[in-house]
Formats: sequence, C-alpha cells, structure tokens
Amino acid sequence: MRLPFAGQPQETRFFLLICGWAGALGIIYWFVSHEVAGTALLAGLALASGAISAWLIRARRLAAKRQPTPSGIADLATDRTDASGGGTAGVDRPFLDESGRLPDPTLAPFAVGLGVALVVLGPVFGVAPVAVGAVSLLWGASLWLRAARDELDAQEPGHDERRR
Amino acid sequence: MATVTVPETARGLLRRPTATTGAWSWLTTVDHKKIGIMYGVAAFVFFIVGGLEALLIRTQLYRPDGTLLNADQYNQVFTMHGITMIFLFVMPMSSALFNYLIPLMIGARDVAFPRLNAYSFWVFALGGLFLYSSPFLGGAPNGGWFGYAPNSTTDPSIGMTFYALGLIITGIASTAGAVNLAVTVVNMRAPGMSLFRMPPFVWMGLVVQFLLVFSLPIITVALFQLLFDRRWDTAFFDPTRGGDPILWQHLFWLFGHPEVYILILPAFGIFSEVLPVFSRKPLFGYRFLVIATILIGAYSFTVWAHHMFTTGAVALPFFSIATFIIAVPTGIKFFNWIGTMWGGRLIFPTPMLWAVGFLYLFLTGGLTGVILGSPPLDFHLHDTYYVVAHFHGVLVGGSVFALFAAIYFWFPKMTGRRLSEALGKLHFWSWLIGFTLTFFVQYQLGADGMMRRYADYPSEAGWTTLNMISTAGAFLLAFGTLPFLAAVVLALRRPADQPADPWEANSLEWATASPPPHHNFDSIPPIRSERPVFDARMAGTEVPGT
Repeated sequence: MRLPFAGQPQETRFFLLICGWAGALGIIYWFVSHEVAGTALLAGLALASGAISAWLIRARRLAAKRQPTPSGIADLATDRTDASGGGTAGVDRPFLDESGRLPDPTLAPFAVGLGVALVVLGPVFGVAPVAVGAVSLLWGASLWLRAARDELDAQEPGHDERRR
Repeated sequence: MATVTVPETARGLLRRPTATTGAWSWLTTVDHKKIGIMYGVAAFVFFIVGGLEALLIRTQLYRPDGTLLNADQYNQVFTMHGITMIFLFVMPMSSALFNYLIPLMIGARDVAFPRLNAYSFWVFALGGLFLYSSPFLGGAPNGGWFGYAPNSTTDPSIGMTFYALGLIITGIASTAGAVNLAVTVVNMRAPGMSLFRMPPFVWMGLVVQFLLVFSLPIITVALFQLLFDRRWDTAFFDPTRGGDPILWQHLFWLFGHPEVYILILPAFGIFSEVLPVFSRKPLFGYRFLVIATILIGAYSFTVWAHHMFTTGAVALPFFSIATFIIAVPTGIKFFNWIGTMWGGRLIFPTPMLWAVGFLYLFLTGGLTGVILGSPPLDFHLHDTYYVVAHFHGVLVGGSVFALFAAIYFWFPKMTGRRLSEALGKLHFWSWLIGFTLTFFVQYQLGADGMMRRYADYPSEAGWTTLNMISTAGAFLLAFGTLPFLAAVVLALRRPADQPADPWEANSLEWATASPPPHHNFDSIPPIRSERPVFDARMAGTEVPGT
C-alpha cells in the first residue's frame, strides 16, 4: 500500500513525521498524566509541524502548476528518486552559473549587535545604555540596509528604477 | 567568482571596509569561515576561564574544611563555571564548526545570510563579556547554571540579574544563528545533494538548529519572568502570592533537556565523520543514524521532567519510560559507530584517538543517565556527585572530546597546517587519564551521599581520599591542555603545506584548497552519495582542489 504522502519531498515528510510524533505522544501523555501544559505544548508542536507540512504541500502543487523542474538541475541528480537537485528545487545554483553574490565586509553586524546588547540592558541599568545602544543600532541598521540595497542595485541594474 | 563591486558613490555613511587582513578585517568580516574561526577562538578563551574556575572548585574540595573560597564565592564560581562551559564554550564551539563546515560540506559559497551570521557572533561575544563583567559590577550569578526559583528571584545581589540578561542576549545570538544555518541547509545545497546525501555532520547540525529554534523561546520567556520577578516585583515564581517555583523548573528543563542534545549532537556528527575516514569504511547504517538523530530531536522535548522527579509534581511513569526510550536511538548510533569500525582497516592518528576515547567515556556517561531515569534510584542520587559525574561524562567525555577530535581533524583544512601528532597524543592521554581520575570517583562520592554544591565537607564524612583523587585528575586535565596550545602555536608558525585532502576523507569540504578560498569552491565533483569526494577518488577522476 502506498502512503498518501510517499511522493512528497523529504522536507515535507520530515515535518509530517514530527507532526505525527508529537500528536501521538500528546494523546498518550494526556491519558497518562492528565496534565494540561505538557499536552498543550505537544499539541502545539503537532499543529505547527502540520501547518508547515501543509504549506510545503500546497507550495509544491502551486509550483508544479507554474513551471516544470529546470532540467539542468534535475539531470544532475537522477540516480535516486529522492534526489531533489539540491536546495528547494534549485533556488540556489552556485555551480551552474556565476551570478551568486558574496557581500562586502561591513561594520553593520557589529554595530547592530552592540546596539541590541546595550538596549537589552536598559530596563535594568537605566537610560544611558539604551541611548548609546539606540545610536549604534540605528547606525548599524542604516549601514546594513544600504549595503543590501546597493548590492541589489549592482546585481540588477534595472532594480533601482523599478524600486522608484 | 567575485564579490559584488558596489560603486563608490553608492556607499553609505562611511566608506565601506575593504581590508582583508588585520584586526579591522575580522571586525567587519561576513565570511562564514572567518566568523567560524572567531567563534572558535572566543569559545576557547571562555573554555580556559571556565577551566580555571573548575580548578578553583576542585582545589577548594581537595581537603575537608577548604578555605580557599567562602561559601558565597564558591556559589559564584560553580555557577559561572556551568554557564561558561555550556553557553560560552560548548555551544559556540559547535557554532564555530557549523559556521565553518556546513557551507563547505553542502557545496555553498556562504551561509544564507552572511551579515546575520556576523551579527550572531558579535551578540554572542558581547553577551559573554556582559556576563563576565558581573564580578566587577556587584557580583557574579550565584544560583547555579539552572537558576532555580525562588533562590534566583529572592537573592539580593545583582548576580542573577546578570544571569537573566546575559542569557537573553546570548539566546538572541543563538536564535539568529539557528535560523541562518537551517535556511542554509534547506536552501543552499549543491545540485545533487538531496537530504539523504548530506554528510552526517550536516544532519546533526540541522537537527540542532531546529532544537534551538523550538527550545530557546521557552527559556527566553522564563528569563523575562525571572527578570520581572527580580526587578518589578511580579510573582511568577512566588508561591506566597499565587506564583509557582516549579513553573521555573518546567520552563527551564523544557529548554534544558533539548539543550543537552544541542550540546551532544554536534559531537555525534563529528564522530560520524571521523570514524569512517580512519576505519577506511563507509559509515555503517547511514540512514538509521539519520533517523535516530531525528528521533532524538523529537524525544528530547518529552523527557524534561526526569530532572524533576523529586519535586513530586510530575508523572513519574511517563517521564521514566520516555527517558529509557530516548536511550534507544542513542544506542543505535553506538551500533552505527561500532559497525563502522568493525572489519575496517583502522588507523589511529590523533582525531581517531579522541573518537575512540569518546566511545568509552560517553558510554559510561550515557548509561549512568539511564540509571537516573529510574525514579527510585533518582530519589537516592538526585543532586549528588553521581549526577555531577554523569553529566560531565556526557558533556566532557562526549562534547569536549568531540570538539578536540574536530580541531585535530579539520585544523589542516582551516589553516593549511597540521597539528603535531606527538603533542596531540600527549594531550589525548592526559585527558583520558585525567578525566577518568576526576569523574569516575565522583560516582562513588555521590553514592556515598556527597551532595553537589557543597562548599566544604567535614573530615569525618569519609570523602577525603576520593576528593583528593578527583582534584589530582582535574589538574592533570589542566596541564594536559598545554600540549594542545603548544601544538597550535607551533603549527601556526610553520608555512601552510597541507593538501586539500590530507586524510583521504569523504565529504565536500575536502574538495577545495586548504585553507579554502573566499568563494569556497571553483567547482565541485558530482554528488551521487553522501561521500562525493570518496566516490570521485574511487572513480579515478580528479577531485577539484586536490
């Protein structure tokens, strides 16, 4: 007998497995312990995993309607039926073309990290760390967003126009 | 494969950094390899500090009525030792390896979000510095690494406030890093690398990221509640005003038991890479190992209350049975590893020694955990040195031995230089003997009734000899680390001379130069199994980078 989800990608089956596991365990747990909090947590895990599975199944159906799998990627992994071609249907194709990007060095992560760490201290240690942290956070975020925007513009010359 | 060149005019508030060497390049890097190295170095610094704290603890307990530390100082030292080793050493050291190796193992240029990756590191480093600023700003945390309420909520010093805030900050770093690495594994695998062609280390990494994403929010909520109770007079954990201190234990261990697997699964991944290479055999039962890993991840959320048997507030049969069951997938892994070695052409360079040492130590640490899963025995042994020996058996004999195996195994890939075999073997044997001396006697101390967190003990208790042996072992561990530091210094002073694949290994990171170029790969071999480099070598085709 063929299971209804046997043809699904491994990612989907992975989440379905978690969903089934947490659901079954939640039922057993309830009848053994009659304890609400643990049952609710297990039920939550089952629901969250089930929701992700449902989303993946739906996305796959929609993608199949829109376009077939790029043959160049599928051909590289045809000797096993479970070989998806890497990634999510070839979202990242680092060695089939050279268009991927590596970001420039930037101070933004350090500045944002410093900002977040200082702002978290604020409620206990007063306004001073929040003020310094906010400046660092905003400056870092500004650098971060500019870097991302500039890279996008440099990669796609028309992007800037479209954005406007 | 070049980086994107951004026009000068498009650059922001300041000129964008361009340095590729020197301190500034490390401060501004978003390269996963450099970030991995920074994680590793920072974690190792914290390891040294945590190790010195362990020596203080053992020196205090060397003889009865120890006077090196008073009780309050002792509380601070063992609390900081626990926090440091778990949150500032083993977790970030695993992050170091995941950061450096996962993109290489799956054939990607970098992680999915390189800037977020750098952000994670800096938040972690700042969180660690914040925690270690506490002794200079009013006192270090003193409530144990699990900070049980109501001690943690009512303690008048500022230490547990540092604890709550410091762990919130490092939790932010871990969450960002987990999302990043999970997305990387799911989305950025090279063509041909299906999930069941991923190296076992990547599988362990993926499960760890899921455990982090699911478990960290729980402890974050608990830490905020603790902070609110301490600073703003709420009563989440105050039973006199309707709160419940047991709630803290539920929330902490619902995070804390998955955390145990967050600490140990990277070790399983490391051994699953090292053992096949030096057994000259494929990993035995790859799929079973992967499925067992997923089961461990799922089970890890169902056993938290075995830490709480003595509270009388949990369902003993359920959590006892669940604890026994979780030993099954771990046992499957042991058969995987033994089956891999069985009939192989074994060789024993330093990484393999650490792996075999792990099998011996982790087995004892794991089995004593199963004993603690039995409520009648747990009632007797709870909070004794038996438990201390058990979790050190798992975390030192498991995680730390694995991390050293990983350093000896991948150091040539990361630096182009190989660590001295002679110094490595001296390091290994010092640790194996030192560990056995330090912790095996603690099982007996626990069975004899010595409770953990005792700052001293009377001479008539009869624990003196075993404590002296344990302390001698701890110092052997400390001195045994010196050959490792010497090996690193000596190796880094030599020119890089290692080939791409010095061990004749299996996975993709060995298909590029040592150390790898900024963009990781010029090309990769076809991926038809979980051992693409081995496949290419067997087919007689040239492996790129070699």
